[in-house]
Amino acid sequence: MLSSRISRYFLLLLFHCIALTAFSQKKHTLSGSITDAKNGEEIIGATVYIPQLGLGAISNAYGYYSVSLPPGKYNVEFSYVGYDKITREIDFNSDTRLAIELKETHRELKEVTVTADREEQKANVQQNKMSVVKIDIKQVRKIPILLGEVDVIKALQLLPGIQAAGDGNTLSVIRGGNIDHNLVLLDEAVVYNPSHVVGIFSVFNGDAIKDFEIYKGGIPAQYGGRLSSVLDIRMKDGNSKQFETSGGIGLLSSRLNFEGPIKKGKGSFIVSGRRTYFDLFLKFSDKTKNTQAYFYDLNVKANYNISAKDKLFLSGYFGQDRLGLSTLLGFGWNNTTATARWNHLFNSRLFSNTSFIFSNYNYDFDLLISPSLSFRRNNFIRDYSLKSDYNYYISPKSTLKFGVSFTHHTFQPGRRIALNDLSNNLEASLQEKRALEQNYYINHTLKPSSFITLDYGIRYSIFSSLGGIREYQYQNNQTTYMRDGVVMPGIVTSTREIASGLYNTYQGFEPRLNITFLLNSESSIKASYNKTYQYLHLIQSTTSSTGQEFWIPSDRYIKPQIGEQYAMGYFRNFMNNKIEASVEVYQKTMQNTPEIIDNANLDFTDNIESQIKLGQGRAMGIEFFIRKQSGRTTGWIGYTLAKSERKADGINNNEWYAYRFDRRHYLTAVISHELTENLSISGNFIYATGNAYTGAIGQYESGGKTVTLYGARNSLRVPDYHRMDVSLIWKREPAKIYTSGYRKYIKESNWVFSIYNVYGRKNVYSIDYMNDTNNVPSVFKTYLFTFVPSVTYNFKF
Amino acid sequence: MKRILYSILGLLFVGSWLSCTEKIDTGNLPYSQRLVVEGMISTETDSSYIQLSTTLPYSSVEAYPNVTDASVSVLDSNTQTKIVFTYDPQKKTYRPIAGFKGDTAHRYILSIVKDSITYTASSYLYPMFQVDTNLIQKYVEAQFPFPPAGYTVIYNYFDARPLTRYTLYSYGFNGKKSDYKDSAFSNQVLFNNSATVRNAPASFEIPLLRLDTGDVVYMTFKSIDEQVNRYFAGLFSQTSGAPGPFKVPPANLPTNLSNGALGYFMATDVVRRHKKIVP
Repeated sequence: MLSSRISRYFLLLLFHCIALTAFSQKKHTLSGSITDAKNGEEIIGATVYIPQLGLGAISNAYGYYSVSLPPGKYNVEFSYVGYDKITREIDFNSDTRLAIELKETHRELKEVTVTADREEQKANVQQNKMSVVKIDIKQVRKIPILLGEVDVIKALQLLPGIQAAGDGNTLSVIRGGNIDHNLVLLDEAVVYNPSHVVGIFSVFNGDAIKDFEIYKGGIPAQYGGRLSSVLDIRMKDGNSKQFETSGGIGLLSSRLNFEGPIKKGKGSFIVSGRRTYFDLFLKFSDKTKNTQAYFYDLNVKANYNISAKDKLFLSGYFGQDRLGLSTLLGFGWNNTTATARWNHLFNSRLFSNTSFIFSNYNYDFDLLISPSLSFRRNNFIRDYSLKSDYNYYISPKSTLKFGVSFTHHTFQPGRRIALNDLSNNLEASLQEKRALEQNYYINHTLKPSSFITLDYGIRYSIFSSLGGIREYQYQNNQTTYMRDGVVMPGIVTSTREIASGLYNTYQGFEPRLNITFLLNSESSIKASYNKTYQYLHLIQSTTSSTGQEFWIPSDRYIKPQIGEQYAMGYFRNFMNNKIEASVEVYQKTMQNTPEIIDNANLDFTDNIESQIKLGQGRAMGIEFFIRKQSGRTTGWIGYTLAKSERKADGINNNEWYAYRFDRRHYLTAVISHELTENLSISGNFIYATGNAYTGAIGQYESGGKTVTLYGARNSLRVPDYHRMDVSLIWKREPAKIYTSGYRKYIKESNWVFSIYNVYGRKNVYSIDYMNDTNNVPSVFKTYLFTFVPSVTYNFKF
Repeated sequence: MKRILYSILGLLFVGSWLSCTEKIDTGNLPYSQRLVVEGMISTETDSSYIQLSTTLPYSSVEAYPNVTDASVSVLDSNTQTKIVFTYDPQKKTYRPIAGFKGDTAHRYILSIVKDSITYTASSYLYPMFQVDTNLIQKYVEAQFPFPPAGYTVIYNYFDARPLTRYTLYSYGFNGKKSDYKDSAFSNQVLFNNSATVRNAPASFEIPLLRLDTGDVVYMTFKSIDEQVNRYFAGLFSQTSGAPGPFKVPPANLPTNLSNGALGYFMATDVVRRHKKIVP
């Protein structure tokens, strides 16, 4: 009721404000693109600022900007962090198109750059965004990561409010949400499993990434489908000025990246690949020749300017993991995404992007125990989406974003495929489910005065199951029931055939609000609210991500998860905006979170709803963040004090219990320092309260086995987590030194020496109960990665 | 299974930074002693028993204490016959009168009174499927990294039972339970006939077991009901010893016993087969 009232007020406010701002005085429009002068890459989030008016704009996800001004003569500033500011004097008599190329700030000038007047440096305070973090990909490359792999997600896990689900785990817990509450987008395509090697590395190749941004809260209306966060990653477009080859050779994998213009000024392409080679050495031994242990990924992208108003993009990602013994068993997974985009400029104020998106996540488990027991277990989720987004730049004080998207989902939670004729009788398949998701949104950014910025919008999502399936019917219409205080799977009484077509539709309004009160040029107070619906749920049967988990849709029994988050923050810059700081508090509620019942049978279970109890969650916290982004020394310190709990009927005596990834304290520090022009050092440190786990209280014997008796769910904590990593980067420019040999072609190169977990802390990966050497039942921790040195050589031709 | 999974983990975490295990101290949680029941009504004569014990604190090294002073009986709900079980100090279990055996398609209700608390459980005795008396042996070459070369054993069966029926299958050789640790499924397997061949002749090979000439392999098939199947499924997954990420979340085992007792009470139709491997 409250939500529908809020939604109604949002819509009224929206139309009222748009009407007011749309029909104001006569204006001309300055618009165009902002690109990197070196490689032609469009710059996302660059600032356009007109000091006389105290107004400006930000370039969008395609580097496009538009600002409408009254006729007159203005100095217009274009700037972006790490680039030299450009000021152009423009005499407005008509609409003007202006393409701007920004040059990267030369290293030697960094310390003398006066930053106080740079608008982008004030973004922390002035931009109407909270709970949003953006790290420059160049900064990410300096952060020491396991085995020297540049990893966007691992870097994000060094920020407050974003915690790794475990040591060496790509999956993140954001502000106390579940690991499936995070929407991960690569060029708008959903990546369902962003992990390589059971989560030790992420699937994102640092060479192919241009920009990324994560929303921990205050999620704008154009995003939806997940309760906790959005990680929006954009791939590079490719160098449109010249052909370039770059790559890296590391201990674990090597990378190669090739990019260049398709037709100068018209388009560009990039092909970027990465592969591990550990398995290649295994083939040399008879004992290990059947071992499979590798991953690879490939990013490709091309873009082409069809006309001054139209641009096409094609991008794709394919990644594969494989582990096992080819003669006995093995498992693997792959993500495939493809995006075709069309940017169109209707006029200088109306920009559109229409995308067709494909996304597929596939998991296989092969078992070859005997001729009559050889099969592949497979599950997948596959999406086809069509979406169209519009940016309408009404005035410098008012921008409207609206759009629509349709997604067809296919879910295959499990099927067995015989690997030979003798195993044919094992072939079976769980029901393939399909669903149609529709989303409509409108978002208005309004600056009613010089000290207030409003961002408000609403999203309307509709999720319909598609028929042609068999639905299970349960005794008393209960998918689970209580027996002696324990949740048991419901008793199936019959099945019902659902005819093809739409059935069982869920829908809801999702209001969004961000508001910034500028206290002065160096401080502001921000607040946000967002409500989100999540119709897809990850079912995970093991304690960590092994790829075996599978996605299921909401249906008659499994309701959509609904999340609401309120956040407020104080933002302050210091030392002429060189240092930015913030404090944010948040509170989040989650409804219908799927809790897997104790001893659930998730192994090839068609009526998965009988193994799930819908519960609720709540999380709250306070995050402190201080960051320095310019100068020879950069880095940040983040601290989070948080609490995340869950509750479901029949679990833990119906009482609230700690979420298993709940961490009360989370402290991170990242620092990079340029010792000389060619030598820099970096380090990071993490301290976190140990994860919650369910402790053993007793033991008994049953069936000849010792059985552990557990106490209250997640009532104990593993020892605290802490770790320090360091790296040293030595840059070289061989082409300037060598005049002969292959080195004269190497424009840039660097050696990265890093040590992960410098002091060898044995952080808990998992807890096991077993007898010690004296046969005393004991608690053991398993730990990974103590003191891992690595070296990587990167080059660019 | 454990070894296979460790092999995979080993591949993942190569070098000096391999995953390792270390004993730790953790906090204490409140503990109170509970009754543990292991009970079976069998179609084999003089095989039925009820064993009672109690839990111990987690770090205790004492032997599990037997409960000898309870009052135990089983009601055949089809015939309304009450069968009294008395404690046998030699076998350390409660036993019915000599010559007792359970009947298929009967429901049995267990009642235990201990310290004025009554614990009950109920189990239905489903018939087993038909298993050929002749087991088939087959020689198999070695596979890398295991199992080694040797004889494998196959049984033929015909399952005409309706859906869904559960079977607890176990095997051993040379007169004792198998200690063949490389078995992908330990030496006990739970079958569910919705996932196996029904109403047609079929065969099954013991996974990964390799035998030598002269070995005698034993197989036991026990029909169980859904609740007992759930108990054993939980028992096997909770005690599988699967490492790291492959481990299932910790949970107390489900039980068909009331009033906080742990363990299970099962009524079962038992079929046994054996074969000596010949050259």
